[in-house]
Formats: sequence, structure tokens, C-alpha cells
Amino acid sequence: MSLDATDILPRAAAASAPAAPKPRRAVRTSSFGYRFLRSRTALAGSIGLALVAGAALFAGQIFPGDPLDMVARPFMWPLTSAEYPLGTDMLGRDILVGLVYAARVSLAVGLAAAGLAVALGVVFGALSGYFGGWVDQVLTRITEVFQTMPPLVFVVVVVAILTPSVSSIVLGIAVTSWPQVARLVRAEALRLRDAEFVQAARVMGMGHFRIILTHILPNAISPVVVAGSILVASAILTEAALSFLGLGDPNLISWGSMIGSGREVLRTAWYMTALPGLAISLTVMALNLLGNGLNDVLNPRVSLT
Amino acid sequence: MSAPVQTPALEVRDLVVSYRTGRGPLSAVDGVSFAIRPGETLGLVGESGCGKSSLAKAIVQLVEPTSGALKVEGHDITGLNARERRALRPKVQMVFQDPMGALDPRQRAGTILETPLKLNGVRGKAERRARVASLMEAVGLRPEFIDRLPHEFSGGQRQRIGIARALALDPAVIVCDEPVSALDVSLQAQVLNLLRKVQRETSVAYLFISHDLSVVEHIADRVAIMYLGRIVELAPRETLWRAPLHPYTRALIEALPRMDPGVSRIADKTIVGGDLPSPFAPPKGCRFHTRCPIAVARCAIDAPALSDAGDGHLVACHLASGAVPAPNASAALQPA
Repeated sequence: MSLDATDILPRAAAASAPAAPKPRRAVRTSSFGYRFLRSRTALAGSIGLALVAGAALFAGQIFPGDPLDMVARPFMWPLTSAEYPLGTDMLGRDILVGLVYAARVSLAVGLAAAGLAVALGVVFGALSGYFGGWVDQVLTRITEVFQTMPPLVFVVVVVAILTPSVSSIVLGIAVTSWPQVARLVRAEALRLRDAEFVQAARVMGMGHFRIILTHILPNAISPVVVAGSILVASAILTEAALSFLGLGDPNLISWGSMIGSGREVLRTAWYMTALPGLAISLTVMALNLLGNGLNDVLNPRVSLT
Repeated sequence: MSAPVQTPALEVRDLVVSYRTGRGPLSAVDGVSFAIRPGETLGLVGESGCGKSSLAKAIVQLVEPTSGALKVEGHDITGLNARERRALRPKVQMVFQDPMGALDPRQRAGTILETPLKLNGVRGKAERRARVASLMEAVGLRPEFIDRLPHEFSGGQRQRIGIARALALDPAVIVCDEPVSALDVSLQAQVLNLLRKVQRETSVAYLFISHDLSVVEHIADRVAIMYLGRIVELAPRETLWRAPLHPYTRALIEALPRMDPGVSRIADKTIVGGDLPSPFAPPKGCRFHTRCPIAVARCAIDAPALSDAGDGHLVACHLASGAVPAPNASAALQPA
């Protein structure tokens, strides 16, 4: 595994050794599920993320109605009314409802963009690392072209050309973030292609693409999973930045657009900016915790206490 | 050479493997020829960097030989197109040095053993299961190990899986690239005995590569000594052991630790000093002359050919008494 920077020296092996007398079907202490449940960071991150995802999924059930409707007196501060616990904005829209609906957009953009970036990065990285030679040369040059562009500026350009919408934002973010996945996968493929088990597969007559699918990718996937969860977080931030700049989807409410509209009244009603900001921070933190936790979970040399 | 003429399981003729590198071309294997009968074990010994591994990789088609011929059960691999070659691929299998590295850490034993069957047309799932079970039994693994991951096995058990995988396709030849050098001495014997048992049952031929003469002595019928890309001596095990003709072979045998220090003293040994010369610029003439204790002027000019010294004992040395160039080089290459 290449993410050894966070690698802790293995502590007492006792942590992963089965202590109780073995039942008929012993729990694999090396299994993903077992290690995941033992990792506090991964658990905390996934609980946080589950809350946000739950809010996003069930927004319509919790708060029926349009989040953009004006429902009450504007400029109601949080914790002043039982009906609107997080107050209202300058148009009298319920901020709590807005936050919950905005979670949909933010998460959808984050997941879709990260998914697309991972898909692109895995294909490019695996081909380039496994085959090497001129294939690697060509693919690496292409990767570098995309990597050298300043991400936010590039996304702004893409969105401006394609008109602001969720799909153009997803595309813009994915196009600027796949190179980091590609480089990660390339490094893993480069390491794995000379592994003896890959040579063994070739000796028994396995084709290149089958080797990539059955040997290279399963062994390269851990750092990609980690990078993927961080990518979701950065995509959410980028989407927020775009919405703040007014390049978000105008028909949808997102955390970034809430911050963007709250900015104008920052001095008198700072809570309109702070609350969606807090939502972004907590979501991104949950994703980063999940990423770091997965890094430990997927690295068998780190013992989890 | 009175044995009936038999198609060798593997025949290598004038094989050259060279790599293009940043420092120029490198001939790792430079004109190697030998043949192995079915059921025979040819030991291949040489120090690191002599081209053993390149030879092994060329035989299992992991690297493309630059020139020369490779015949598996009489079929020449080198002239074939990709599809015909693929059909011959199961005939030559390999057991790797590092039993941990040779098994995918994320695949269970059953999957590892099933894959070669899947790839080579064993369609029925039940048929594959049965074959996997018989393979595991053949190498002495308990059937319940089928769901284990490589790291849940001991080193010796892992190597047994590696051997079972190589056997899965009923190969004619298995190239064993230092299969025991990563194992404890106690396990080495077990694995060597397993290899012999398998050979008795299937009459597979082994090319057994090692840097350790004493391991080769245990398993090989004939032994080839390789130095800097060439075979310098090839003889039946007993002959090589009792009457080595090449000074390099003598040095290798003398370098082995002896049980009786009174008989053998360092001072009596012919020590071969220095390191392997650079393979980018191999010495002219006999490649060993720079380190040879008995080299004469001719050795630096004239490269000795591998010639028959009688009884299938081949040696490439001008000074080996009794070595005369074989009238028919190909006859000399046939196994005795």
C-alpha cells in the first residue's frame, strides 16, 4: 500500500488476535467488516455521513414543500422560534429546511463527481501503469495536461461554457480531479505488474485485461477508496465555491448558494452564512474521517485499538 | 547414448536473451542449449547475475528470446503466432521463488487453483472443484484449506499451493526458480520430496534452478553449471560431483561447507576471487578466464565450445582433459 505516511508501527499483535475460544465459524479478525467496526475514525466518519445522507434522502418526507418558499417573517434568528429552530433568511425561508434540501445537491454532486473521477482515473492509471512503454508515455502526458490546470478556474470555465447545471458542475469537477486518482492507480499498477503472482497468471496464459481486472485492480483498490472519500469532500467544497460565485444550478438550493446569498447581510445576520458553512465543515470532516479511517482499516499493518 | 530416442520434454537450442538497456545491449543468456527428458530433473546452478532467471523467463515465455529455438514436446514455440503459442503455454509452467509473492494476497486457495483450469477450458464448475480437490490432495494440503487466504498458510504450505497451481494444467515441464531458497531448511526437504513424489506420479520434467549446489544435488538427475550467460559444464549428477572438469565447477563444489574440517581447509581450496565481470562487457575468449586459477594465454583469446568429455559429460574448457569437441554437437546435447 502506498499510503504509508500514516502508517503506525504495529503495536502489540494481541489487538487483532482472537481472544475468546473459537466458535464454529471463527470471526476473521482480518476481515474488512471487523476492522471497520474497530476503527473509531472510520465509524465516526460514516455515522456523520449517514446522518447527512439520511437528511438528503428523506428531505421530502421530513419537510414536505418547496425549500425556496417564503414561510415566515424574514431575519428570524436561530433558537428564537420553536417552529423555525434555525431561523429564517432575508426572504423568510426556513434555514433548516434549506440546509436539509441543500444536502441533496451537495452530496449528489460530491458522489457523482468523485465516482466519475475515480472511474476515469482507474482506467487511465491501470492501463498506463500496467502496460508501461509508449502507452504510459501518452497517457501520462494526457494526465499531466489536466493536472496542470488550476482546478477551480477550469471548473468555472467548464460550467460557464456548458451553462450552470448539476451535470456540468459534476463534469467540471471530475475532469479536474481524476488525474490524482490516475497517478495513484498508475503507481500501484507499476508496483504490481512485476509481482510474481502476475507473472504466474501470465505463465498460465491469462490475458492482459483479465490480469488487470482480477489481480491489479483488487490489489490497488484500497488507496483509491481512501482517495475517493477525500475526493467527495473536495467536490462538495468546489460545488460550494461555484454556488457562492453564482455559478451553481439556479433552480436548486445548495450550501454554497446559501452562503452566497447570506454574504450580503453578513454583518447584521451572520448566522445565514455560518449555518451552511457549518454544514459543509461537518460533512467534509466526516468524509475526511472516513477516508483516514479506511486508510487504517485497509492497511493490514496498522493495528486498530 | 544407447537409450531409445525419445522426444525431449523441453529442448533449448542456442537460446539468446538480450535486453536493450540504458547502458547498451545486455546478453543475459548467450547461446544456451540443453534438453530435458520427460521425468528428468535438470539442475541449473550459477551465481546471481549469471542469467538463470532470464533463461527461466524465456522458457516460460515471460520474456521474448532474441534468437534460438525452444521446443516443448517437439513443438517449436519460437516460430509460432500468438494463438498457437497460447495453446502450448500450459505445457510449460513455473514454480516461483517467493511463495508469498507468487500468490495473490486477496485470492483464496481454491480460486488460485481454479484459475488455470478456468483459463484453459475446464468449463464445468463441478469438474473444476474436483480437480482442485485432487490437486490439493496431491500436494498434501487438507481439503478445508480451500477457503484460506495466502497469509493464513505457512511458508511451506504456500509453496505447496504454488506447486499445485503449476501442476493444474498437466505440464510437460515445470521450471522451478529457486523454489526452496526462501524456505527454512526443515521445509526445504519437505518441498523437495514433494517435487520428487509429483515427478514419479506424473513424469513431469523439471528445470530446477538454484544457486545452492547442495539442494540441486538432492533432486537433480543432471546438473548444468552456468556462468555469465553460458553453460560451462553439464553432467550427470554423480559425475559432476565426483569428477568436475571445469575449474568454476570445482570452485563451487569446494566452496561448500564440509562436515570434517580436518580434511578440508580453507588453505587447500582453490578460491575464486573477484566478482562476476560486467555482463555489459563480458571478457573475450573464455568468460571465466579473468577469475580462473588455471587460465593460460589461449583462454583469453579463444572461447571454448561445450564439448563431450565422455558419458554425456559436457564441458567448456580448453584445459579439461579428455574433452574433445563432439563430432556432432546436436548428438552431444541429447540427454544421455
